[in-house]
Amino acid sequence: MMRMRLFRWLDAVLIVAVLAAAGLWLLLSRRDAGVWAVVEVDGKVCDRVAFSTLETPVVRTYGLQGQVTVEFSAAGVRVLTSDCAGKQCAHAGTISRTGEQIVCLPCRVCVSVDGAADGEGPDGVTG
Amino acid sequence: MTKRNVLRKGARFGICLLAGAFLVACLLSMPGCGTRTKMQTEQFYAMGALCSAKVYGTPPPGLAAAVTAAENAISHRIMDSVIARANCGQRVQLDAGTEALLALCMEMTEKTDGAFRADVLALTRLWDFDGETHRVPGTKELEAALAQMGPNPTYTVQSGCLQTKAPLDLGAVGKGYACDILSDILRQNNLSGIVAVGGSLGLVGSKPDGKAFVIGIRDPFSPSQNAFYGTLALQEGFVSTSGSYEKTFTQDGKTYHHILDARTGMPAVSDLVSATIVAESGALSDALSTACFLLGREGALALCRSMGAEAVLIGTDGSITVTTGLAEVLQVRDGVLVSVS
Repeated sequence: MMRMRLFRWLDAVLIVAVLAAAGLWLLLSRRDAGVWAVVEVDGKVCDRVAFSTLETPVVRTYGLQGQVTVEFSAAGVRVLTSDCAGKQCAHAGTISRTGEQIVCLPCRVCVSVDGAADGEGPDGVTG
Repeated sequence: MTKRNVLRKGARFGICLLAGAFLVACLLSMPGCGTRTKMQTEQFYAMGALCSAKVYGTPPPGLAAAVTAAENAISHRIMDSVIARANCGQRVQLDAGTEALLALCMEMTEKTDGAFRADVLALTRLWDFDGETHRVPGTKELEAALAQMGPNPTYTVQSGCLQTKAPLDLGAVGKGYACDILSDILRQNNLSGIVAVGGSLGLVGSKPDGKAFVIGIRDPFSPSQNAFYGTLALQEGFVSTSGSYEKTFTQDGKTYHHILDARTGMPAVSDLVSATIVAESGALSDALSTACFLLGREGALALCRSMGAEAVLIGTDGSITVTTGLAEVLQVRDGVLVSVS
């Protein structure tokens, strides 16, 4: 009489496949999704910089109707200088978290931090 | 069926269940699926501000064109706009939107005893907060501008036609009005999301997870554009903020802000640094935020009650006064004194 086994080899393959997929999913979901700075001039994206992995700071200048100089470093992104009168953008400090933004209205330059995942900040800002 | 067969089938069923649950979890966690749908953003410049539409889905076409069309009608800076032509002394035909804006401005003038005026361009030109030549005007210049404006609004709208003696500046309602326009486009396309024109916002529909939109109120005491004094968790509606920190300049050691009291021609003396208003329309929230700042804390609360609006008022002392309708959805930093009124 043939002996019935509790598991066949196909069951074992299925178990291994499920465990492997679960492991891979855990690995991918825990990996840092990464953030990058998006620079828009007059509403059009003109640069993307993955700043969090920079070993040395990068300085670039943007703008059509006034220039804004931006520094990207592992610590974040900040406006160094601007041609605008108010200099509010240059005083805005460093941004590094998804959703944060520095806008220079007179020069029409907007630097924002974007990432693969949604940010933890608010959905909108008033003020 | 033997006991062993039952066990084997049960084990297989369990494995299949596990694999199915895992598959569903993976699909839900993928971008674009289920509750983790990421917002897509379209940004453009209009009305002297950065405009954006953050949409759950694809932003519909025509957003920038719609705001630009409104700007072309109501901006005094655009040579052929209806308002610019009226400012040149012409009698001009208004569209329904612009007529409603002027009626709202007239109402705000009445509610603020003349502190809020739409025919205020003579003053705003003198101060030039939006330009490069801002300065404190001389006494004679101020007197001339105030004389041109007179004690009461100088514009009339009859049968949809506008005529004005003192030039108009609809800057106190324009951004909110643009939010109304953008929100309508989102609704017409069955989309939900947030539209923003400068610091004015329109909240449309609901988030995919059903939670409220979280709106940050900018910290009026911080130079950072990303520092928040508090947050509001809101469903649909419109939010605008006016504050003395927004457009400023310093002359002879004194800092001047851009919210002018039309009765004196000078920056308003207020016990507020910021007035955030939640209302049923963008134009109303925008107008009320300026009017509330002009009136100060007590007057602002009375005005909001009379207009069915809600407010978060930040005082010069850092304390917050919130109306009852927002008390439960406002979160503030530790240590900030909050009173509900």
